[in-house]
Amino acid sequence: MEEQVARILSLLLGQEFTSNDDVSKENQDLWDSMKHIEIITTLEEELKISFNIEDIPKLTSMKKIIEAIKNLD
Amino acid sequence: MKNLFEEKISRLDILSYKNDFEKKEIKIMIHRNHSFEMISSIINPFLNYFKLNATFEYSSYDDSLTFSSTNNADLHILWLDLKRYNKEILADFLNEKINELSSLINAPIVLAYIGKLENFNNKLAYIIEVEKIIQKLKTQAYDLEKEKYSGTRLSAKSSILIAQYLGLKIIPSFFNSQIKAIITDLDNTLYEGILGEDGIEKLIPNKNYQLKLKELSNMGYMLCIASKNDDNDIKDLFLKRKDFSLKFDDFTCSKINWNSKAQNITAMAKEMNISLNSILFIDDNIAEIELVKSEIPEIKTLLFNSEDLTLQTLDLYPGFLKNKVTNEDLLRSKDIKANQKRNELAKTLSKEEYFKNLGIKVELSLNNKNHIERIVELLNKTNQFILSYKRYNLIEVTEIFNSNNSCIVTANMSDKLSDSGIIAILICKKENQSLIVDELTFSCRALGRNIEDIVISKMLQISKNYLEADNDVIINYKKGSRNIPAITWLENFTNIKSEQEGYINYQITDKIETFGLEVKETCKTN
Repeated sequence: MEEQVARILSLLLGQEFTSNDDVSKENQDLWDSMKHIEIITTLEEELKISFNIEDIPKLTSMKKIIEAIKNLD
Repeated sequence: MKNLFEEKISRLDILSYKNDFEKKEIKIMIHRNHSFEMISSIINPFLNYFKLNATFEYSSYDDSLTFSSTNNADLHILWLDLKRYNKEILADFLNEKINELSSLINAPIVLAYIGKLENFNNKLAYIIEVEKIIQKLKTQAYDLEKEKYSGTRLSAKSSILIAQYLGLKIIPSFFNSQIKAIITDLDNTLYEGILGEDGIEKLIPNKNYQLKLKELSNMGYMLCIASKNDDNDIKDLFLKRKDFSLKFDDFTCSKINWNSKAQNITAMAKEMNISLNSILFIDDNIAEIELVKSEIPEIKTLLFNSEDLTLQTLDLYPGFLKNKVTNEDLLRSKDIKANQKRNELAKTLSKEEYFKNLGIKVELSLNNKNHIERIVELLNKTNQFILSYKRYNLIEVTEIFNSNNSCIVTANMSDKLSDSGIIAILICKKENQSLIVDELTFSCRALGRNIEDIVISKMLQISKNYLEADNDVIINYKKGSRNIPAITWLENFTNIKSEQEGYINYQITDKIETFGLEVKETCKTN
C-alpha cells in the first residue's frame, strides 16, 4: 500500500517518490488545495477506500496519508 | 497501457500515458463559476493523442461572467453550474454574455453547463450539456459531500469522463480538420471472418459497427471501402447477405483489389475531391494501418480491435461535431419546393420583371461574425459552385475575420416564396494593391435566377472598398470533378478560358447594372 501511495503522489505531482520520502503540501509547490482534492479522490479510487470527510483537510503529507489509511483498516 | 478511448479509464491510467508526437501549444481560457482543475489536470494526455497540448487560464468563480481577462486564448470555455441562476432570465443572460464575449475575441466559444437549460441555442457558441456525458455514472456523477473542498458538485469520476470527452471529441475538433469520409476494411472489420476463406454464408456481420456507419452516413459523412478482395465476390456478398445493415450502394466509393491501400485511398480522395486529412481509415490489421500512415502521414486511422472499443472510439473521435440544425437547414426544404415555381417564372419574364415579380431581396454583409457557423459549413460542403476547394475550418475563418488584410462577404437572399438564408460567400485578401479572390461559393439553390453576376460583382466591390485595393482582381480557381458550374460561371463572367488550376485577371467595373434587383449592404465589421 505504501508504494502505491508513493506512485500515486509521483504521478499527480510529476516527480518520482518512494514511500520514505518527505512529501508534503509545504514542500511541494504543485500541491495546492485543488491538487489536494485530486490526490484524495485518486487515492480513494485506486485503493478502494473512503476517507472520513472531516479528515480530508488534515491529510497534508505522504506520512499522514499512510497513517490515515492504516487506521482505516 | 490502457487505450485512451476506453470507457473505464482511471486517473492513473491517463497520467501514465505518454507519446512523443510533436505538439501544437494552445491556450484555453475558462470562464467559470465552479472548478475545472480536476478536469484540466488530466486533459493533456487526451489532447496529446491529437498532437495538441493546452495551458489553461481561469477566471475567478464568477456567476456574472465579467470577462475581465480574455488573453488571446485559442479557445474559450464557459464552464457553468446553472443551479445558482434565476431560471426566468437565464437564457437571455447567456445569450447576452455569449454575444458580448464573441465581440471581444476572435476564437471559438464553448458553453458547457450542468443544470437545467431548455431549448437554448446560440450560434456563436458550441453547446455541451455536461449531464449527457456523465449520465451513465448515475448516482456517482455528483459528490456533494466533497463539494466544499473541490469547488464543484461533480465527482472525481465525472471529471475523468468530461476530460476524455472534451480532450478527445471536442477540443481537437476546433484545431484539426473535420472528417468527411470513413474508409473501412471488410474482412474482420465490417464482419467477422475472411470472405476468401470462409465463404459468404459463414461471415458474421458486426451489426453495431454497420449500424454506426449507417448512422454516420445519414449524418452526411461519406462511406468508402478499401479491401483486398475480388470486386465481384464483394458485390455478390452484399447482394446475398440481406442481414447486413449496409448495402453496397451506401458506399460512395470502393476500391476492392490487390493494390496497396495507400494507393487506393489516395485515388478515392481524388474521386471525392476531399483532402487526405479529412479521411478516417479503419482496419483490423495493424500492419495495414502503419503502412497507410507511413505513406499518408496526414490521414486519421483507427485500429479495429474489438467492435465495442471501435464504437466507443468513434463516439469520442474528433472531427464529427454534429452540426446543430441551423436556421438554413430548416429553410432549405421549403426553398427547394419554391425553386420549382421560380423556374417557371424565369422562363416567361424578363430580368427586371422577374426580380420585381418575385420581390427578390439580397443583403450583403461584410465580416459578419453571426454567420461564422454557416460560412464554415458552406465552405466545407459545397461541391459544385466552389472555385478553389480551400475548405477552411473554423480557426482559419476566424483568422480571416481577425486579419486587416482579408475579409469575408456573405450574401443573404429572400423573395416572396421563401427565405434562402446565406447563398454566397466571398473570401478575399489584398496583395500589392490587387484584390485576390481566394474562395467563392454560391448556393446551387440560388443559381439560375440570373442574380449571380450582380451579387458577385457587388461582393467584389465591397471587398475592394473595404481593403482599399485597386480595380484589378486576381481570381484563383482549381478544377475538380464536380465544380463545373463554378468554372463555367467564371469563364462566362470574365470571358477568359480556364486551365486546370490557376488564376484569371479581372477588372472591377464601378457601375454595376442591377436590373432593378434590391441589394442592401450592411457593412458593419462587428
